[in-house]
Amino acid sequence: MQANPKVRKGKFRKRFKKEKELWFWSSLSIIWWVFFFLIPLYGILYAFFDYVPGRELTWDRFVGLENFAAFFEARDAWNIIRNTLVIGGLNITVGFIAPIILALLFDELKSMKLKRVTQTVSYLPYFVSWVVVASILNTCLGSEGVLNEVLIGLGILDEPILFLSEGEYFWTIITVTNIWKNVGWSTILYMSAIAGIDQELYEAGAVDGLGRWGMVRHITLPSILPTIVLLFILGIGNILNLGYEQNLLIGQPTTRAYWDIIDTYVYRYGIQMGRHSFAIAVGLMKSVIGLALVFATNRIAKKTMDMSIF
Amino acid sequence: MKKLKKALALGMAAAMALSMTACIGSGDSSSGSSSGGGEGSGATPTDVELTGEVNKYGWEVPKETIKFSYYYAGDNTLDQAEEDERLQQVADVLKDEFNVEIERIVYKQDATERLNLMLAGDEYPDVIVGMPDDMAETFIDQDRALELTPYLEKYGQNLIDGFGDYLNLLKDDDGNLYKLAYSWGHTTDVMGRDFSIRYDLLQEAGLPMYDSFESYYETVKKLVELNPTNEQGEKTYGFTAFSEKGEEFYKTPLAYMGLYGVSSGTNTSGGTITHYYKQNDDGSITHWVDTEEGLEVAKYINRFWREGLIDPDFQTKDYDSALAFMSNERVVGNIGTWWHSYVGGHQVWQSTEEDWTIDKRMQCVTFEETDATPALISDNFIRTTRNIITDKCDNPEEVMLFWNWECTPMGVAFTSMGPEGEGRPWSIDEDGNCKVNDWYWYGKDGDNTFLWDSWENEMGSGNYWMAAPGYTPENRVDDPSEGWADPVAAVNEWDLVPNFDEMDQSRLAPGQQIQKLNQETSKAYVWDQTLWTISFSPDDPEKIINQDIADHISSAWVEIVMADTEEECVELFEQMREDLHSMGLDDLVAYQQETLEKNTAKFNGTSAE
Repeated sequence: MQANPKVRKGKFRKRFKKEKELWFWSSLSIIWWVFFFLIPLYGILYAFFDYVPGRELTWDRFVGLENFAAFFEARDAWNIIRNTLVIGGLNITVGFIAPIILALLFDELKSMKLKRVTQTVSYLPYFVSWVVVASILNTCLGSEGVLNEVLIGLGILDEPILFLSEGEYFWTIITVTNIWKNVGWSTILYMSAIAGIDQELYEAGAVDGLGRWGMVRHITLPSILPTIVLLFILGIGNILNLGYEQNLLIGQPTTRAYWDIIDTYVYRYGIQMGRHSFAIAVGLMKSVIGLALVFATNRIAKKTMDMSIF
Repeated sequence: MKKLKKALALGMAAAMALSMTACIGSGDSSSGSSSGGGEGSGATPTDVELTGEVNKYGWEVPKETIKFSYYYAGDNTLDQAEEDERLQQVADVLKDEFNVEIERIVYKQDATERLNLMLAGDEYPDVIVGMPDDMAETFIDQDRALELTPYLEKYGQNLIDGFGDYLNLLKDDDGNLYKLAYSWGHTTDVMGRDFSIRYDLLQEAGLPMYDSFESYYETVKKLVELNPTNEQGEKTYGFTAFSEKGEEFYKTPLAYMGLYGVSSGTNTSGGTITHYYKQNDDGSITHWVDTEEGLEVAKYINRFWREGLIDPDFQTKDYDSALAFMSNERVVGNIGTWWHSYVGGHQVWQSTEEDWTIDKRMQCVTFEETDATPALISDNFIRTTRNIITDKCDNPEEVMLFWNWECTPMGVAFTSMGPEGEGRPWSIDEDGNCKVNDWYWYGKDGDNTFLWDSWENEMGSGNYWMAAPGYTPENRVDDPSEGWADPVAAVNEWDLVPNFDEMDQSRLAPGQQIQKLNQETSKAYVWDQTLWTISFSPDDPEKIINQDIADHISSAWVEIVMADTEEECVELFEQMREDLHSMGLDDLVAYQQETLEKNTAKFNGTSAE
């Protein structure tokens, strides 16, 4: 049975009136979102055309899925996909757990002063540019770097290892560096989630004989689980969006087989070569895969934990 | 809530559909511009009305103020406000003494990106200067550039003379000329890639100067043995790599062996050169990885590595860290670009060490060992960037008139060093010649560092530079100092080369003395690679092959250098060769060969229809 349109209209008007302040303040961000995110979405069309700036986009330039196919036909396509999945996978596993652990550790600090100082210090690497990070890595991991000096000093090594020049170390280096750079900043949401936990739960836990580990396991972690799930679902959508800056800066010619990812490939073979449609096609493909992963993870989370973001 | 979601979804879909519809046209794919090259092509230039008054710079002042705007695409680091302020003094002189007003537009943005935005928005200035060749071709293809021949013929005689037959290379297959080269001319630099050595250490060791590949190796090895650490106790090496990640280790020796370096895409002199070729007696070309010389160079460099003479971190060095490595006395030599060892060597020591003497320097010495003619400096007359007059320009005749003046000695002096005057770097002598002021050669009050460091900041450079030669024009090859008083040997936008022998030897700055010494020992083996210029369109399969090959060589070469044994080095080299062929190296070589033949025919004027 259909609702009376007049009643529907009246309901909407009533609701709008009730929420008018909310709508007023939201309208600015909605307009911004429409202009800067929604309308520019037409750009995905270029992925299906042979686009040349300055030329009108006409049907005679339509190439279908040619630009997508070009990526898979690339000489190193599968190696690039492998690197992207491995580095993205390490980020979403190891890199995802690290801030949760750090947030729990921060929470265990009893001195508020120490807590604030350590938290603030942990945010700092987030603001350090990749250029500087690469320079720090060169200093620390070079043949005369701190790490080699320590290992040689301890008698573990006889000769220095060229960590940055040997591919087998790259994935570890990039993952550790990503964690170092982002871990502090990523704790912010977890810290606020932890701060929202009812203190009475801890008091009750103490009465029941829970120790510190027990409280973490039975109170803190279950309480912040919705935040963890939310961030994981959102994070999995970005598994292929790794950025090219760090890999180009830290990667060396001899480690290319390990650092060349979709983003660096598109930068070299798309942007730098003026192949705009190709770059857009690969970007679109990444977004579609990311969206599918978000939907899939959301569904799994809903079924297994009864938690989801939509 | 569901209804609201539905409404939002509908709204989003409508917005997207609308923008998509607006985006796709149904007509042909021609440009949206109303006029273009077609209109300019064959246009009859109008007369520029002149007053008859010639100012001291040799410019005949026009009756009406000449006004035009140009985008300088050659630098993406310039700030518009800073540029306006820097050029104010020159703009005032142009307005008062030339009756010319030029708006120079710069962006802190990648030129290709900006030019694409200009195309997409159909908004660009009258003139574009220093744009990449492929972008110039895109403008031409869309009829957005004017055909320059009628304007050149009427107002651009200096340009015609200066370019000579090289102008043919810029014409299209129908003989139309839509673009000119920026920073064009024959290089006047006397040095390029070379070997160098710490001269003071060589003297201390009592060793003779090297004169072959083998003796360079032996000399470097001996100097490292005698000086195993620097003053701080840090280990020393033979050499490190600068910004080329070790590719300079093969480029320099190959250049000695007469193999020619051609870059990916259009070539450059001193820029990113990725391909070296051997030209055979029958005119065919062979990629360097397929030559015996290539393998010999690989084995030669690998010997340095196996002896611990190459900085193990050379791959991770960038330009600045390599300079610091050199100035910290961690290397006794250098294989690569001559000025790296000039800047990283005495220029630092001179200013940081009280007891510095001129012996403490990196000395470049060129030797001749093989029968081949070395190609240490790649000269590309038309370089890699272009100038166009766009279809937005209402007064192309006036632009050409100004460009033509820029090609005179006075024009070059003005655009490179600003207005003349005794307090400025240059002035006009009683014979009407340009002369470099004495203080500028020898320094003010004994401060002779000014010449090298402060010219650009204090006196300005690139002052509305558009068409002036960056190097020596074809018609001044025999007399590059034409219009200049002694001791000038050559002047262009980039260089002010003195004849050191004609200068007051007692007043030469240390840097000048070292340059003089380097010029005596490092020989000018210039190779004109202009005809080897290669351009790829975005759709060319060879463009992808080229990138694949450049990427692969950069990785494989470093592994070859770092091989533990000579056998491994040879194996890796052969593997690289095999891999490159499987990537399509033969297609790329064929493309290069075809381009070379096409350019040669064009240059000789035999290909224009």
